Amino acid sequence: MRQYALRRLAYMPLIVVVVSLITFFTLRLPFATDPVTLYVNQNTTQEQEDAIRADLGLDKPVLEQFVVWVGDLVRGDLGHTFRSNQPVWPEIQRRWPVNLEILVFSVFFSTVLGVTFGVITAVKQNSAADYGFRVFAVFGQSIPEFFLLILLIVLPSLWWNYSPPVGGHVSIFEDPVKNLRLYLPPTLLLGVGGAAALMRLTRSTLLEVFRQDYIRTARAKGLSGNKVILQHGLRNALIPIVTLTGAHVTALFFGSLILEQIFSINGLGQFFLVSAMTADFPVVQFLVFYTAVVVVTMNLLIDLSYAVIDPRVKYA
Amino acid sequence: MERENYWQRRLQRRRLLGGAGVTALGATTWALAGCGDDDDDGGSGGDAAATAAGVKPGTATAPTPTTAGETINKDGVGKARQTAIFASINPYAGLDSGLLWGFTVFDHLWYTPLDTGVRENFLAASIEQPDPLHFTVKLQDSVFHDKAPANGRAVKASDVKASFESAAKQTKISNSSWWSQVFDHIETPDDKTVNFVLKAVDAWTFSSTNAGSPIASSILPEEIAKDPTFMDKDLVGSGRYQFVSHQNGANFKLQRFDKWRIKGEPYLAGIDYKLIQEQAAALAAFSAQEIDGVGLNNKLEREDLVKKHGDKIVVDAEDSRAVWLLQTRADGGFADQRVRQAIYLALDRKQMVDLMNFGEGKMSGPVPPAFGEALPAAEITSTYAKSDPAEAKKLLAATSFDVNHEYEMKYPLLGDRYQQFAQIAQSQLQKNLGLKIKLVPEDFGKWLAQSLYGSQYDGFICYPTLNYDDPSSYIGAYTKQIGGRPNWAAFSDDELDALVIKQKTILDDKQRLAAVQEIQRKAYAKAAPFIPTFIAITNTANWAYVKGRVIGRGSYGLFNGKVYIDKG
Amino acid sequence: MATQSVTAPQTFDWAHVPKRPGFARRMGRLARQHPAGVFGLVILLLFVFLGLFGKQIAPYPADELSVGLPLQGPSSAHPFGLNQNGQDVFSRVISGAHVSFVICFWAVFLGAGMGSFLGILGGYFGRWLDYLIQRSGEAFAAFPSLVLFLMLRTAFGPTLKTIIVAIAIGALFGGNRVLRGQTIIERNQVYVESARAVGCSEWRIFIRHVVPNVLPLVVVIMSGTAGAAILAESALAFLGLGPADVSWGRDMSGNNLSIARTGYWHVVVFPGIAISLVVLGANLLGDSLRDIWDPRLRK
Repeated sequence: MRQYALRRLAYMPLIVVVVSLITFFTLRLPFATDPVTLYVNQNTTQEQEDAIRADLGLDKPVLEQFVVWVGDLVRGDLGHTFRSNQPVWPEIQRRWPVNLEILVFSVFFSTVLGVTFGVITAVKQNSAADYGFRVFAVFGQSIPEFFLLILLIVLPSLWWNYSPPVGGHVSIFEDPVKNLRLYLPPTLLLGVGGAAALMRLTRSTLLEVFRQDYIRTARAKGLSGNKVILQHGLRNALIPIVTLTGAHVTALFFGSLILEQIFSINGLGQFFLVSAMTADFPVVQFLVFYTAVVVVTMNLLIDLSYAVIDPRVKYA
Repeated sequence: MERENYWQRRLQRRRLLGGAGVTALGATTWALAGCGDDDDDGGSGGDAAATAAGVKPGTATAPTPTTAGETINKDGVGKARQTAIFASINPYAGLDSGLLWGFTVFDHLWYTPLDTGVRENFLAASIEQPDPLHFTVKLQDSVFHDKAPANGRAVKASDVKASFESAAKQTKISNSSWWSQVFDHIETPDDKTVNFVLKAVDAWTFSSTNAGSPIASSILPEEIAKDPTFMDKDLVGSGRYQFVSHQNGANFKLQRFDKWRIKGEPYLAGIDYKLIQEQAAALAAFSAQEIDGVGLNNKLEREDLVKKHGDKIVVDAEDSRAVWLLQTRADGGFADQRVRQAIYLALDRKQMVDLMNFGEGKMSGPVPPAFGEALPAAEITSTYAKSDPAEAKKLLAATSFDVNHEYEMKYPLLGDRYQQFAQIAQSQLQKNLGLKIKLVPEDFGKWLAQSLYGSQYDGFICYPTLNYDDPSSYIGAYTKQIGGRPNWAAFSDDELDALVIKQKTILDDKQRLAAVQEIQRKAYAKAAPFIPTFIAITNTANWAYVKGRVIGRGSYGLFNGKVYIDKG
Repeated sequence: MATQSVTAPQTFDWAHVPKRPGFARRMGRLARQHPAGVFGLVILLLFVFLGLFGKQIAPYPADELSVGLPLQGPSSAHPFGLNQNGQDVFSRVISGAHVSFVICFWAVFLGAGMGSFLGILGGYFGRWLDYLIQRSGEAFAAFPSLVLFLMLRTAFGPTLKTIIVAIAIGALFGGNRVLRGQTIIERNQVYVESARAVGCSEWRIFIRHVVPNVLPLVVVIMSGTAGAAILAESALAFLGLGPADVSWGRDMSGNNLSIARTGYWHVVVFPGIAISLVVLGANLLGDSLRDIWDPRLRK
């Protein structure tokens, strides 16, 4: 187990490197967008264009550019944005709290709602509540997130002339009320989409677990219903739940962008989007690198949690 | 015409551009929305008759001088909408930031209100013109904001010199060719005197596309002008408002500059910008008074707001100066003039106005109707706006044009209207000429630099022009070289080239007007590949509690410091 | 609804059933037991049909302007009404299925299908195979599909291929992980140990025991992928990042949205229903198939 963990840990940087390599060289394929052409105006002369190219470091051979980039990265210099000539790291640093908050809230809502209703519907199988929640879940999963978020803005305005706050991240430590007013409603809605999937998975996994012999044994031993559910049932249903939650976090990169866009919050999603549209290579490269680190770390934790949750899972 | 008069009046419009709804707040929306971001909505300038579009002319649609005895609330903070995130706050890095700060944080030597057309001194105490290649500006007393590196020191002639020379070198802002081909250098005999020296005579020197550009003529402290990267982080000017803060290129906060050279102004204690990207969210925010004004996309939105809020809001209507263009090519299969004529005739501009603006728009020649230099409406109807699919087909059939080839129609990904216009043009050309056209959306940067400036398109490209302040900008595309580049549409016509260059040197208003109109007639006769279609009549809604708005003075209404919030 | 899924399954009456009922009869019975699944299947078949032939059978070309009065509400001539361009919304909804279908197709077959297979393979055999699949999977899992999409878009601009590649690769390694987790559990089940004890070969155990046990999950994942791909495509289109084609998400965004807000709801509601319906169909079908094929549920 420990050996496995260590080996995975050693592989993490490798994955991140591979991802960065793919990105770096894809962006510089001969038929890919040339950023320099985006930073000229109608009066720009060829000399000025060459100067811009040199300034952006794109005049060197691709391999040399790569060496420079890696060298800078190792020294903690992430380069400057093409568009605004700002150091990349502070730009990211200012924005990531937005995404962290969206992520934490959404995952919290989806997990709490999903697991709770999953357990309820499994235990009360075939009851009215079961049907009700399942219908709700099936529909909840079928409605695009952007539509829910748009309704959140449009409906209160039509009904009560209330406009939910949009725009402007306020730190939760500075002004918790303002922060929560901005983030809670949309993250709750984002969470609902994830909760629907999680609820259905929890329910079906639990139902399967309930059919297993050891649950029957546990009941036969005289353990109370709730205890069986929590101690045995849920514990055994945890692996798929954790896996799905992991996938949910990854999916939230998308949800977060949609939320940022509709609620006009300037986070990493929008930053990435604008950078992609303006061929801002240093930003795109670093954001890919950054998400890779986040996702790889999370996947490692999920994998390791399998062994913690279910001792039968052995890692060779 | 005498020379002094020429310099004074050369921007005068034969027709007054009244009725437009550009307020300090509304027009900043324009600054944000109109340029580089969304489309032609909320343009400035316009026609008083536009109110016939069914808008109730509110009390504030006329200039509202503050009546004596009325108490002015100087504590109010204006709340404006920002429609897009700025890539950088540096005014030299983008049109959006350049315009916004140009109207607020930075001071300018002069401005020319659209209603009078008479250039007015702003920071300049006087402007003298001994001859067309020189002019001298004497500066008033003024100080910079109390921030490093200027630290509240006085504005000097050397600041003006450094600012203009720095702006001329910028590549990221869309400077007009004035900066490279007309402007030569500046001499500063003393701290209060600025001598401009020009390389060539240009009748449009003072217009807002040239030396009066709200971006390029912003006066920066010399220290910053010499190192404009400073403005990536902070802005220090000598304008009415001081830059306070921003969040990653959004939600700007501006604060009144108490030492502003016009005492007692501005009335607003500050302006808060709120980033709202979705129009639906902006309308909701406007209804909830989270923002004071909002640019409207169409008649439906206007009617909805009027129904909801009645006379608590004021809706302004104005003629946009953004002409929707369909640009084709003048080379390859399009070299035959008859092909381009066929395309002119195949377009149905009425349908465009009906579909894009619910009928609220006007046919336009190359120069939009808001200008005196525009061709008379009747003439436009019989030339540019003529639609005759049968004739178009006949013309095309007589040529060797390849109708089986699939042509591209490129448009920038900037909003629905761009796509809508492209769809309509595509559909009309398919239906009326049997052309095969594929729509190709592109990111704005790529579209602008490569497809438009770089002429990389196979067939068609479409876009609205910017809201220029002078007709010259609209006809500039007929030259062989546009700016420093070959003609975007590969259009090369000796006669038009010479005419366009010549009109810039005609100092007499009437003669120049005639020359500009002549160019437009020639362009039609030669079926120039820049095909103008229509302009929209656009609406802006403001809450009536926004008082003291100055309307109908074009984008320069933005320099009005007398706006205040009166919520009673 | 999938309410039938958990009711006590029918038992065979061994005394009176000399031979297995015919295929049609079995299908008919399944259909009666799973009306929600049938509903889902019908929706999906319709979606596939429209995706392939929608443009041909639409009453008007999707981009034909002014086929009627702009913004006219639903009528018998135009069942879903008309949009601002006077385009027939019904035709646009039918034609819009194409883009969704193409993306969905690649995501399901390239993404979910291949991905599931690799996941099961790796989860069961472990060792170097698992290692290889997992590592390359992780490299791409480290590319959430949006991130991959934006990266590709930076390089190649807004094309359909960019979207397909991004969504399909996302699906490839998404399904992979879930199935691998499930397979690891199956691998450690008692029945596998028993099979091994009686001398079954690893391949036999894999094909005969493990695969059937995780197969329902593959189907669930495929149907989930179909739904997710459609949602992703519509969200990209909504954000203005989709291809230029007629698309449901695109028709729900921007100007249409603000027009809908002023009372012309039909402009966005029908494309919205189309998206939700197809995703719903995929989910319902997935549920029912899962119920049908899960050996443990069948007793």
